[in-house]
Amino acid sequence: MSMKMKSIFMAIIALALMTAPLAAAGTPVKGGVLKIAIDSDPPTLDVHSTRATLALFVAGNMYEGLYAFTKKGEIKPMLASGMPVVSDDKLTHTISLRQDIEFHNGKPMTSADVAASLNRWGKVASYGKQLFAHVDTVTARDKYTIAIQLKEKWGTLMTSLAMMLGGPVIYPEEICTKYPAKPSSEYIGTGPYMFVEWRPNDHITLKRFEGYKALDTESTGYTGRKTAYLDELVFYGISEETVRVNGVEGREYDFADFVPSDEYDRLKDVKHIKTYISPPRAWFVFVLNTKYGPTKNKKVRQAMLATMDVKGTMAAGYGDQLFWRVDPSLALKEQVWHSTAGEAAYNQNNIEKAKVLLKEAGYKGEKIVWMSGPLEYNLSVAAKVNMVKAGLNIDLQSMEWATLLSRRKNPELWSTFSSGFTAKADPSLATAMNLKYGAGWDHPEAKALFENLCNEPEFEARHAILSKFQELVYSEVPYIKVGDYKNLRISNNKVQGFANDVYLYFFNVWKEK
Amino acid sequence: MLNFLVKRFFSMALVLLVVSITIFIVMHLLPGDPAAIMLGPEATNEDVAALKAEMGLDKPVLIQFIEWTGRIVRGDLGNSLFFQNRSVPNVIFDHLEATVLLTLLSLGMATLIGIITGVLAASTHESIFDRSFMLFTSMAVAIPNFWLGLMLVLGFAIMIPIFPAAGYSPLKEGIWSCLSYLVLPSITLAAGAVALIARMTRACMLDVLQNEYIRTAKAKGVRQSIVIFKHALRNAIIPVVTVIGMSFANLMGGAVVTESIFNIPGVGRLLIKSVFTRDYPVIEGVVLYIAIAWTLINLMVDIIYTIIDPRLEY
Repeated sequence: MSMKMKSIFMAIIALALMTAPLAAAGTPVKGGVLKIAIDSDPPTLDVHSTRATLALFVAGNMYEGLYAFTKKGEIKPMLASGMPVVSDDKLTHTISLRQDIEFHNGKPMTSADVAASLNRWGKVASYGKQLFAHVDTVTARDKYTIAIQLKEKWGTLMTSLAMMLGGPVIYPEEICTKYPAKPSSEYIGTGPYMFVEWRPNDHITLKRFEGYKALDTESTGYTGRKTAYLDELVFYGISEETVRVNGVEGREYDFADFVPSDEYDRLKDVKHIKTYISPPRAWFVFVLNTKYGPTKNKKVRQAMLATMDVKGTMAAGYGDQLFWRVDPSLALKEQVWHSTAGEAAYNQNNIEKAKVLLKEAGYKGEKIVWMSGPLEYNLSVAAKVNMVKAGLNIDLQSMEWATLLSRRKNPELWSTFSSGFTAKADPSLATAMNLKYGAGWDHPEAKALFENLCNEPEFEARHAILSKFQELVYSEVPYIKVGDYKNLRISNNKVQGFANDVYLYFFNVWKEK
Repeated sequence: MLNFLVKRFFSMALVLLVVSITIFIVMHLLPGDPAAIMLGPEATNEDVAALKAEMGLDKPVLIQFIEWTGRIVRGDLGNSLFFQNRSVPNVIFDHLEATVLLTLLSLGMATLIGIITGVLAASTHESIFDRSFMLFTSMAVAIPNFWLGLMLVLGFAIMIPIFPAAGYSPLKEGIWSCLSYLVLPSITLAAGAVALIARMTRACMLDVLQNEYIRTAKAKGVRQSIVIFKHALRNAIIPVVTVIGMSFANLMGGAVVTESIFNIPGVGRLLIKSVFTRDYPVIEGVVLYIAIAWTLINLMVDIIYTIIDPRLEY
């Protein structure tokens, strides 16, 4: 393995603390149906076509990529038979494939499928497009070998190949040909569970894939040994949180995600229920418009940042502190990318400073239109209090997500919106560093830092670049980081082997009789 | 009657045309974008624009409207943008079973209990039963569906676990399993309708019972049950049939709150979900279906009037 590769592996964040599984009791047993209540139907099960985590909760049991992250954040082979062989000029990566893999339709997986999948992902997926700007070709060398030819050295190739959320999972070639750009509606993968049916607005059923060839290595994250103990996994998209809770309490469902944290004290004492506090996987953020309106003025943005009382905002907006924490970093504490750069500007709670900044900005009380979806609304209300005290004229508008997503495309309509940024294994993939997000952030230094980060192979240097980027975020304020959040999950106490990981997956889970 | 039916079919076609045009315009005026929802909240505007173009949603609304009208005329409602590209009629059909069964069960329950208690209350006017009945029906009308539903779940699915807390089992998996999932939602839905039907029956019966032909029948010694059920109820039932018909049409369009509380995959939840995801073809299809259900049920009610009261002519 090359030094570059090693450094990337070392650099990849060990979402380790995030992934500690609860102790599994008893001996695994085969059989049974696991009924899982998630908070909505996924938009699609074509992982190339979406970054929605809900899609991964279902599809992560069905699909696999060439590589995957372990719980410690290392990259290990999944469908590849080993790590790539890299040419001396670092431009050609040759990857050998496992030869015993079958798709759910019984067809053996070959390099033609892998090349077609990677090429489709490069055209369809957001992350794929990002990577393929630097990829020259992906070709099948022989039946079980592919070669990725880069246009230039690029530091995030392996990280991109190992991603599951919006990542390059492998489909049969004919699916890639049939759906070159539109989201696929045929779901065939190589994972331990296979697609059975999707009854719209009701449930999605997966069943055990009897032809699955498990790896003989330790099960960790999305790699290693995966066993489908259950006959079926049935996912129900239920938007009403009370129904999800009642369903598990009434033993109709075995597992529920996104349970209101207010219910924690009660549910942890219910005999037949297990509670899990998920690892943090995201943080709340207020995205500011750097191109139009009052927030175009940097001092107005700095004033908004100065008013932030993060602890008060999170407590008011997200409840018990078990489910959130205050942290300035653009990466989670559990990640090696964590940095405290610029922290003096975080959580200032300084209304007087904000008033001075607004005066310097020449702010005359122009309206600041602030859009918020339902999940972030309470937070936004709490944060607004200090901003109003500082003299900002905030027009906080609550709207459903579809409207918010549509309105934010026109930056002339808003000054800020509330959202969440999920943690990524590599900072170059994070929305926090995506300069096109929201209204876009046209800042030459930010652009240069991002490009350097992508080109730089050494971890220490990359960490330093990320720290500089974070400092720049705290001085230019294209967005305001609020706090990291976790969520409450519950299951029937017969459910065993559940890895309380960042993302949900149910291989290696069984149900006691 | 034939003339009446022909006229009604023409007016129905007109209603459907107006409804479909209105819903198309309203939905496309609403902010929201299926491509943005499909890609997730962290997607950039560029990604959304690319997918929108792939889905054909970047065309001007007028062009989309012309294409859509052309399809509608050919009877093609299009495919869902989210549900694995399935055709809209198929998606609606998948949700009809739950809605139809829930409607029949709750309306059957409401009609039976409503008419019987309404008649009893009227025939024992001012008695303790009548007063208790008035109190109960006032409460039943006032209790919100969502509260009653949650209380029933708490009582009969969690504390005394007799019925499932949520979900639905299709008829093909067994009638008893299916019914067990529908009992609590049916009671939730029926409560309001029982009160409405019962109060309407009571009021109409009280009116009719004061007529001279009722007094004459009683004076001639006709049995009380025959006076009430044969002479009075038949003349009092027309407004009640109207209420039942409206409740029927309403429920066939999906009981959004009850379907949500009990996680029943019916038409109401389909509509709400489609609105949130901006699945335009499904929204248009469901609204058309609801309009058809309303007009057909109204037509059915008009025909039933003539059966109950042969003096009525159209």
